[in-house]
Amino acid sequence: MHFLKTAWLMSRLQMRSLVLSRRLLICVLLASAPIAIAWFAGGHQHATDIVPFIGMFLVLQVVAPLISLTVGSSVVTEELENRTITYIFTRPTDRAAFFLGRLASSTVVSTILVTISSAGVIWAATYPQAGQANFKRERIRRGAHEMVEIVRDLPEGLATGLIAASVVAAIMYTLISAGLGVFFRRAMILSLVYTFAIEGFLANIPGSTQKLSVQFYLRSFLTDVHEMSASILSEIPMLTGTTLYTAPEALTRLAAAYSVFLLISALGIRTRQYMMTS
Amino acid sequence: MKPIIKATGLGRWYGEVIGLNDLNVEILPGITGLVGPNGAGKSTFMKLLVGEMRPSSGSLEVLGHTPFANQELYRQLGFCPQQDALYDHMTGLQFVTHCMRLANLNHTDAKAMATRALQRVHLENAMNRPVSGYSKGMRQRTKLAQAFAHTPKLIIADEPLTGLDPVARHQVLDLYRELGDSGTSLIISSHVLHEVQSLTPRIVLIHRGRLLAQGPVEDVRQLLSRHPRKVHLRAREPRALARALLELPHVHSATLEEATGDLHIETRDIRAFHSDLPALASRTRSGIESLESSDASLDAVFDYLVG
Repeated sequence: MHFLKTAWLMSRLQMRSLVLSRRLLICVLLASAPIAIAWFAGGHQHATDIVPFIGMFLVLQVVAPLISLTVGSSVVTEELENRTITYIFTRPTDRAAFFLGRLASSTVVSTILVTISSAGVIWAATYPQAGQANFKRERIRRGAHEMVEIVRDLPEGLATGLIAASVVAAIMYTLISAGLGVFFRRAMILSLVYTFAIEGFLANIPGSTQKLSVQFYLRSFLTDVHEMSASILSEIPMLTGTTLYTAPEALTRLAAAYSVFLLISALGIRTRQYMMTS
Repeated sequence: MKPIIKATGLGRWYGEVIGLNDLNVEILPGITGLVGPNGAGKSTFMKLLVGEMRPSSGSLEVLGHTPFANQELYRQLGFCPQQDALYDHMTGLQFVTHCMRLANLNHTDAKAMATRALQRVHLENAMNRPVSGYSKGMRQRTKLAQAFAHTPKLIIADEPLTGLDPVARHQVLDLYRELGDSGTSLIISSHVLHEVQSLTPRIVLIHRGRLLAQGPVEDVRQLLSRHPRKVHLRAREPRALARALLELPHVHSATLEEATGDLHIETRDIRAFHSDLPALASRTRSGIESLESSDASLDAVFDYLVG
């Protein structure tokens, strides 16, 4: 019971810190970038042509990891940098509850932001087309109605697939960053190196090494629910030759990897020594 | 009496840097001052005591427990860290209440305890303001409040008087005495000997990661009295004064600095020196302009003891 209470207290503390932090502002700006791009592109091309590209190559590969890593890296390192971790670690609390509570809040924040970003891409890509209806009176209402119609016209699974893949990406990358923070001081830098150098390399070379990256499973997930995304990927030579998983297979494997990394992180924080300079 | 802290061959290294080396010490219940110059190893010892780090060698028991991540110990322990770190978005009351809730208290009890603690450190008028607006002294007192609010058996405070103005310092020292009188054990680190001496007769002296001396302050001061104490004087007639001083049995040497006219005296009995000086100055009409005892600091004491 005390474990849950501590986790809840830590979760609230982290949520409050995040809401008042500059990190959140940076993340909001990051989340807005694909929406702005989709808005401009939406004026020239149909949403069906824009959303898969922006969704797959900007939201899932760049924005979702960046937001999640920024938020996730605050789980442990922020308390360490602020040197307030002492007040928590010298109380009769389970350190794992500290980690899980803060991770939960960070995951919620990053998931919301990434979801807004991906949903925003769909909205921004469709709204200019809806606006072209040019109803002078009740433009917003009718424009919104048109937009809903266009979203409905999108290929089956594109909107839901992108949003669901974004949520999965946010959950995974937040844990990666938070978990690295348990073991290393510079979690943000390490997370960026991992995501954009190591994983970026593994995910984009032909062969089964792709399976070592989160991106591989996100692609599997997205292409399984949305055929057009699969056709886009099939046109990229480097990504051919590897059989993607089905959505349930991808989710199961990601869930297993998540559980293992979560367990390692929770055990790690119980045994790690965190030294603060006076 | 059973010791509250027992360190045996305690060592802690930071890579190749030695923080503590083969420290053997037993600390009994009551108030104990942990003293030493900056970099002596006090903070390392404190961090080991509160379980922030594990020892590299040896063993350590605090209230009968191995400290690192020991929840049973933390129920009986309060820690006031040296670093000026608080959750700046919280008020003082919210911060201490939050710390109390981590000790598994419900919100009502935690808030009541936090309020009482903040009143004891004279922050009742400021406790509903964000700590970001607190002065350094107020922040220090807030840290102190979270350390004793849950009435622990042992409070460990790392440089708790830093940043306090004289009035607040006096109030905090009084609070420590009250806590000590009520049966709470305290370990207070400071690099200023007289602050600790005003609080407790018992000190533990650490230098370069080793135990240098332990026991009542007077006993440790006795060690100092074996070495001549240095006094710097400036007078209108330093030569006459020097001649007269050298006739005193406890004056070991008198050196006149020609360029500045400063007189450097070494005496084996500083109290007798201070007692004899006014009459001597009057008799020789030497007109003392300034007097400074340069080796009254703890660093100087350590210099003597380390040799």
